[in-house]
Amino acid sequence: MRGQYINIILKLRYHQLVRLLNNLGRLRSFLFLLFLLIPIVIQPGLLYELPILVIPILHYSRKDNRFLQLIGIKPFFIFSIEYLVICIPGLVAGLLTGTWWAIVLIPGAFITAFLPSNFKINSNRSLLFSHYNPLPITAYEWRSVFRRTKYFYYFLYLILLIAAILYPNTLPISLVIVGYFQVSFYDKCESYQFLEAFQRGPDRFLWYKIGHGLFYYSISMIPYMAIYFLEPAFPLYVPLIIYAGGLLWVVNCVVTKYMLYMEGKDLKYSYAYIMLIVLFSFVFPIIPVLTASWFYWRARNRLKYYLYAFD
Amino acid sequence: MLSIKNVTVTYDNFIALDKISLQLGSNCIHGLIGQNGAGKTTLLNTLYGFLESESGNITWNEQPLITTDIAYLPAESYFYPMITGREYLELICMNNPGFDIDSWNNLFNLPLDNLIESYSSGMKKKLAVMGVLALDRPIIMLDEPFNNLDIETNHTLRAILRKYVANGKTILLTSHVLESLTAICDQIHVIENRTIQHSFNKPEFSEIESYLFKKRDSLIDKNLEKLTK
Repeated sequence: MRGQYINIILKLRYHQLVRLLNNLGRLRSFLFLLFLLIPIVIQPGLLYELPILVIPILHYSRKDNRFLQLIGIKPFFIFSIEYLVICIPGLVAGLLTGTWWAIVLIPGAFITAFLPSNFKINSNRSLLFSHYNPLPITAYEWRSVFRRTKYFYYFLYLILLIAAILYPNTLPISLVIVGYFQVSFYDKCESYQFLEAFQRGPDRFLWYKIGHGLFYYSISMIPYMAIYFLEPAFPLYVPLIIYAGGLLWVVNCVVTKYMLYMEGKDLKYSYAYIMLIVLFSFVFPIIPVLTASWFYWRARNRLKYYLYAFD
Repeated sequence: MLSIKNVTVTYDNFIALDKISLQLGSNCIHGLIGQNGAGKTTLLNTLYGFLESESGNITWNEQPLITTDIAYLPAESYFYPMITGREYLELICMNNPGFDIDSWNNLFNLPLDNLIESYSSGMKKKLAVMGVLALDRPIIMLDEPFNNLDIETNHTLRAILRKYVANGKTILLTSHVLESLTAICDQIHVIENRTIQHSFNKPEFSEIESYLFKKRDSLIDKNLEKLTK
């Protein structure tokens, strides 16, 4: 029976991948696969480093936990199988190159499969600071994420801040992790009435959202930058480059969201877009600038269908 | 017999269900009606095990209730992206290989070889209903099953549920639309203030409306005059 489950799930995943590539079209599929392979060819270690990043992202964004329980399949079993399959190229590459620590991917896959796949709250009756919220209503994405993840984001932010104070060497990692969470602020599409409430055309709307995103990101970075200046553990340019990278990251998050905008939908693919941009930027640092411009143009064209106001 | 005795569910210091007791006999379609937020879905989630009850017990034929006894259709169904209706049903039919997808599809008329993304909301609901029927379990719980279904499918679903009940299954439906329940149920239970306030048998269904709307009508009359001047 378990063998049949494995067979059917892997067949399903294979069909999904083939259809996704068909949807992209031949040229975009080719470019997608090329951009995936080039960094791996240049730096083969990515094969066993990528699953460490990709698997938690996939796990955190899953929504099929209840569905699997409803049809009588244990989610842990399916998640483990899928994550182990993702780890296979990394395991093989690690064993062939003698990078024995790659074996840690196996227990990592099982542990991740065991963790809760979301941090959503069941009710709004225990909001932290529910009667006091310093964020204005126009920052509804941020309010929504803080409430959705209950205490997790505050907890994570505090832990990373404490880590940065006690161990200044962790500062760049902390900045990357906090920056990563910016993606989760832009993965749900509001109703078009929300967009219309801004009473702006596509260009002004996008610049408004980008400006907001950059402002709140910068505010959240202030404590970290303050720690750096008080206890410099790196040359000046390191945290500044990471901060600037984060700004580009936020811009890409915003324009990707509105490029893919569909009223009321969860944007499952926005994570994939953003992580690919980050990945490629290690090889071609100009990529985030190019994607921000291209996606901005596509987001503007998409929003024209939804916004009645003109610039 | 599905027996629910003094079940209380709380989360975050809020009492979601307050000492609910209910006896749901087999060969019977039970309806659950109540306002938005009354606790209908919470009760179904508790029966399935998604929520834990603080007190009380739930038994099926005097044994503890387990999830493999229940086929549950939630109000919102999840579908994997980029899969066809047939693949969705084949995944579910792992537990029941005897389910003849094509024969059942003669009743629902779905384009099973198309991607689910291309389905309308009504078609997705039909597919989810087929999935629940494919599980073939003794208890069937359907949360707002008639939402988004066309008239013909409503009629088909009612016929299927009546047949299942005749074969000994226990069915529990929820709805906030009274007529969808009175047309098919043998018993209707009213949930209000997070507990079962009253149960009506089929001959008493004509009294449900006045029971539900007695207080509401005077409130509406009082305020509507002011609001619509």
